[in-house]
Amino acid sequence: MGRVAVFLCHCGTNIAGVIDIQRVAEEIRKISGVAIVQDSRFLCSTDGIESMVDSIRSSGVDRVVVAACSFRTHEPLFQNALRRAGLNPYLLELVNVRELCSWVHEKEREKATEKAVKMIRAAIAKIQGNQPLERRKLPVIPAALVIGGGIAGIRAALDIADAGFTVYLVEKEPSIGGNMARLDKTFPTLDCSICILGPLMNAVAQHPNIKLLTYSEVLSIEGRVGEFSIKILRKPRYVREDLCKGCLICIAKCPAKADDEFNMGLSHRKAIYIQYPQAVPRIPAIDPSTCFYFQKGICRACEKLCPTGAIDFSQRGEVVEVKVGAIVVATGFEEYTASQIYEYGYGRYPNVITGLQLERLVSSYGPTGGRLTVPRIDREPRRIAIVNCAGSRDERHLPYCCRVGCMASLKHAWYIKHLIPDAEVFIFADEIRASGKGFEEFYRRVRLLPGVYIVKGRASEVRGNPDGTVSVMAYDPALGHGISINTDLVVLEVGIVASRSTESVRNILKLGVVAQGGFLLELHPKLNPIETAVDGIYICGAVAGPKDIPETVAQASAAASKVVSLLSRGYIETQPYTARVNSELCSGCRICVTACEYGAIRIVEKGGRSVASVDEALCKGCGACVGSCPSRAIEIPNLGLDQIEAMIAEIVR
Amino acid sequence: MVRLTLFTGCFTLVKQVAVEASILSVLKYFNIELVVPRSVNCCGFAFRSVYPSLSLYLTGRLLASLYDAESSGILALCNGCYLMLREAIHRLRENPRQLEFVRSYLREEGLDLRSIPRIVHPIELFHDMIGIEVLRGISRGGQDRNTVIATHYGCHALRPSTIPSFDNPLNPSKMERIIEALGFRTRDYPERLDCCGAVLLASNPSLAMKMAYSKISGTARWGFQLLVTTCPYCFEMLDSRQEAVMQMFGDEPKLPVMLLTQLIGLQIGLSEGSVALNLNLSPVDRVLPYILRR
Repeated sequence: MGRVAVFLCHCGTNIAGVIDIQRVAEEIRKISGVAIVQDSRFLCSTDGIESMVDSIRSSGVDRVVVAACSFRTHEPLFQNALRRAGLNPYLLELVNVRELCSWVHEKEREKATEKAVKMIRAAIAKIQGNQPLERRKLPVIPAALVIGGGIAGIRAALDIADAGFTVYLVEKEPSIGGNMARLDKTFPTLDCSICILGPLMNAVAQHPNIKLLTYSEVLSIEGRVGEFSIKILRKPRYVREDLCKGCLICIAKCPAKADDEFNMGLSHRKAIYIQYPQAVPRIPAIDPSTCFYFQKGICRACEKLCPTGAIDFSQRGEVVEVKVGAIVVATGFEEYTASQIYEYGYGRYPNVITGLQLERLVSSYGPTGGRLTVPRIDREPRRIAIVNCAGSRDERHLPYCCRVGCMASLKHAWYIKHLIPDAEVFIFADEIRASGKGFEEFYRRVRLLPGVYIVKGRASEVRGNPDGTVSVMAYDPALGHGISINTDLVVLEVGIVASRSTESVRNILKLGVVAQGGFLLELHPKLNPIETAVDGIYICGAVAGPKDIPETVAQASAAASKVVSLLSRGYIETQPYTARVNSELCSGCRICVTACEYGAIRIVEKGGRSVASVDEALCKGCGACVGSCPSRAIEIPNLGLDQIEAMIAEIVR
Repeated sequence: MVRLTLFTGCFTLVKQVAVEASILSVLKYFNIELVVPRSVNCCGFAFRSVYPSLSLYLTGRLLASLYDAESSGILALCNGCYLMLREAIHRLRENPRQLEFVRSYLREEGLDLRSIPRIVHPIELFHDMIGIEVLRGISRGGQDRNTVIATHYGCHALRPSTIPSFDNPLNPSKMERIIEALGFRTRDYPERLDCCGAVLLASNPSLAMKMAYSKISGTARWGFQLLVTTCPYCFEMLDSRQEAVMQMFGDEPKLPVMLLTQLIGLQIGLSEGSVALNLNLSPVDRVLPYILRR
C-alpha cells in the first residue's frame, strides 16, 4: 500500500469559511496509509507550493491528494510540484472541495464538512491504484490547410506562410476575396474595400509558401493534430491555368448569360466568367449549367478565339491529397434569406434590396458602374429607407445581433448622400450600436449630414403602393404613434449566418455548432475562442460568430499564431489518459466504435481475432467507450473500474 | 364520409346567417356530414379580456359539451370561436392548474373534458380535408380565368402566432391555393393581413370604421374584382357595413365581397339563393358575370 500525503487548502475563506479544515484533518489522519496531512491558507501561492514540495521530499510519500479547487485551472500547477519533488505527476489526485462542496453548501457547514471528508477519503482509496504515466511525443507535419479565401483565410494564410510554413489555401469560388470583395467601402474610415484587400490577394498569389487552390472543395479529412491527410476536389474550370494569360477575350465573345452571383443577382455574367475585375487568380471558369456547348453541344466560341489554346472542354475534376499538421477554418458568413422576413417585402417588391446588394449597386465595378438606381426600374431614388435588424434580434428568425448592421446602415446612408446629395435617408433603428473604435465618431458624422434621419423605432412592415413606391411603417415611441414613410428604395440590413459551405466542412471535421446561425463552436468562449473541440483545428472570422473586418483580421492572426506555435515546436505531446483495450477480454463487438465521438477506435485483426484498437492521438479520454463496453475490456489509465468502485465504496460507507 | 360537429357561434346566428346557409349547402355537395349540437354556449370571446377565467371556463364547457366520439372535429365557422377553442386547448394543455379549475366547475354539471377534439377552420376544411384536387375537379370552366380575387383570412384565424393554427401566421397561402384551384387568379397585396376593425366596434367604433375603410379602399386600389373571406365578423365589416364605412369617408362602395363558401357554391352550380347571395350588401352584382359558369 502506498504512503499518501494529503494537502488541504483553505483558499482564504472560500473553503475554510464553510468547511471545518481542522476536523477534516483529524478525520483524514485516522486513515491507514496516510503519512502526512497538512493545511495551507493558499496552497497555490509560491509559499504553499514550496512547503508542499518540501513535505513530499522529506516524508518520502509516493502519492499525493490535494483537496482544493478545480483541476481545470490548478492541476498543471500541482502536477509540476510533484515533478519537482521527484514524483510522477500522475500520482496526484485533486479533489475539488470548493466548486463541488463549499461553494454549493454555504448554508450547511456541518454537512459540507462531512461531504469533504467523504470526497477526500474516496480520493485516497482511488489513488492507491494510480500508476505513473508518461506523455508521448508525436511529430507534426510543418504545413497548414486554410479553408476559405475571404479576408480571414487570406490573413491567416499570409501569417502562417510568412513564418516559413507551407499553406494550402482552399477556396470554393473561382477567385479569393470573399464577401469583403463585394463591399464598396469599409466603416468607419471609409477606406475603399478592394483597395486594401487587393494587395493582400496578390500577396497570396505571389507567396512562395502558399499553394492557392481556388474553385476547390474539401472532400475529406483524416488523421489527427500534427498529421492530417486531406482530400481536395479541384473542380474543372475548363480553362487550363498553365496556359491562360488572362486576356479575357473569351468572356467578351461568350453569347450565354447567367445570373451574376457575385453581384447578388443584380446583373448578368457570361457562362465563361471571372467574378470581378480584380479577381485572383485572373483565370476564367466556365459554368457548365449555362454554357451552350455543355447544354446544346454548339458554340465553342471561346475555344476558337483563345490565343493560347487554354480552353479545354475535356477537363475533369481532380482529387488532390495534401498532408498538414494544422487546419484553419475560415468559411465566413452569408446574409440571412431576406425573403423569409415576409413583412419586409423582399422578393415581393423590386425596390426592396439587402445591404450587400446596395454595396454592389454603389460599387464602381458593380452592375451599374457605381450609379445608384432602383433595380429593374432604373430610376435614381430620392427617398431611401434603411431598415436595421432585419431578421436579427428576432425570435422568429435570428435571436442574436449581427454586430455590423448598425455601422453598415450609417455607411450606407453616407454612400447615398455622397452619390445623390439631395436624397433623404431614413434609418429605422431600435438603437444604433456604435461600440467599436471610431464608431461613435462616425455615427455623429453621419447623423449630422443634412437629410439623414434616424428614426427610433423598428420598422414593422414594408408595403407597396400602386405607383411603385414603397411605404415603411414603424412605431415611433417619441411620438407615441405609428408612422409611415413613403420611399423609392428600401435597404434591409439583413442578419448574418454562417456560410452554407460551412455545413459540409463542419460534418467532415466533426465540429460542434451553435444552434442558431450555424456558427462553429469554440472550445471555450473566453479562454479558447480560436480552438475547437478537435486538437489542431482552429476557427477564425465570421464563421466563429458575427464580426466586423478588424475583429476578423485580429482573430485570423490569432489563429495563425496558434498554428505557427504548433508547427514550429515540431511535435505534440499526447495526454496519457487514453483508453486502453484488454485484447483478451475484447470480443470485437464494435459497440465502443459507435460510442466514440472522436473516431478514435477501429477494429483490427490481432492474433487471428478482431479486437478494438485506440488511436492515442485522437482519443480524448472521455470514457464513453468504457461505459459502453459490455465485457469491461476498455479502461482509462488511473480511472480503472476497480478504482471507481473503491471510490464509490468509500462514499457510501 | 367525414363527420364534423358544427359550431356556428353567436354572430352567424344573429347577424350573418349567410355564413351558415352557404356552408350547409356546399358541404352537402362534398358529402360531409355536419352534426348540429343540441345545446351550445358562448365561446367566451366576449369575456376574453374582462374576465379571463370565466372565458376559459365557457370555452372548456363548450369543448366538453361538443364531445362526440364519432366526429372528426369541431368546425368553427367564426374566427373568434376558432381562436377561443384552440387557445383554450393550448392553455389547458400547458397549465394543469387551469385544467383542474375548469374541470372542477364542469364536474358540478356532470361534464368532463374527455378528449381534445381537432378544431377545424373552414379554410382548413377545404384545403386539407376536402383537398385541392377535389376543388380543381369541380371547376369545370366557364368562369373568366382572368378574374383576380383578393383573400382575407381575418386576424384570429392565424394569430397569435404562438398558438398552433392551420397556416403560416405571417404569410398564409392556403386560401390562395383554394382560389387558384377554383380557376381564378389571386395575388399578394399589402393590406392582405390587415384587420377588418370588427373587434373595436364596441370600444372604439370610429377607429373600427377607419380601419375597415383603410382595408376596403386599400384593397380596391389594386384592381381586385372580388374579396373573399370566411369570418362572419370580417364579412360584417367588409360587406354589410361597406356602404356605411365608405360614406363616412366620402367614398362609395366599390369592392364586391363574398364568403368563400358562396364562391365555391356558385362554382359547383348552386343557385345564388341557396348560398344566400341575396343577403350580400356589397356590390357583388358587378362580379357575377365573371365568376358564374355559363
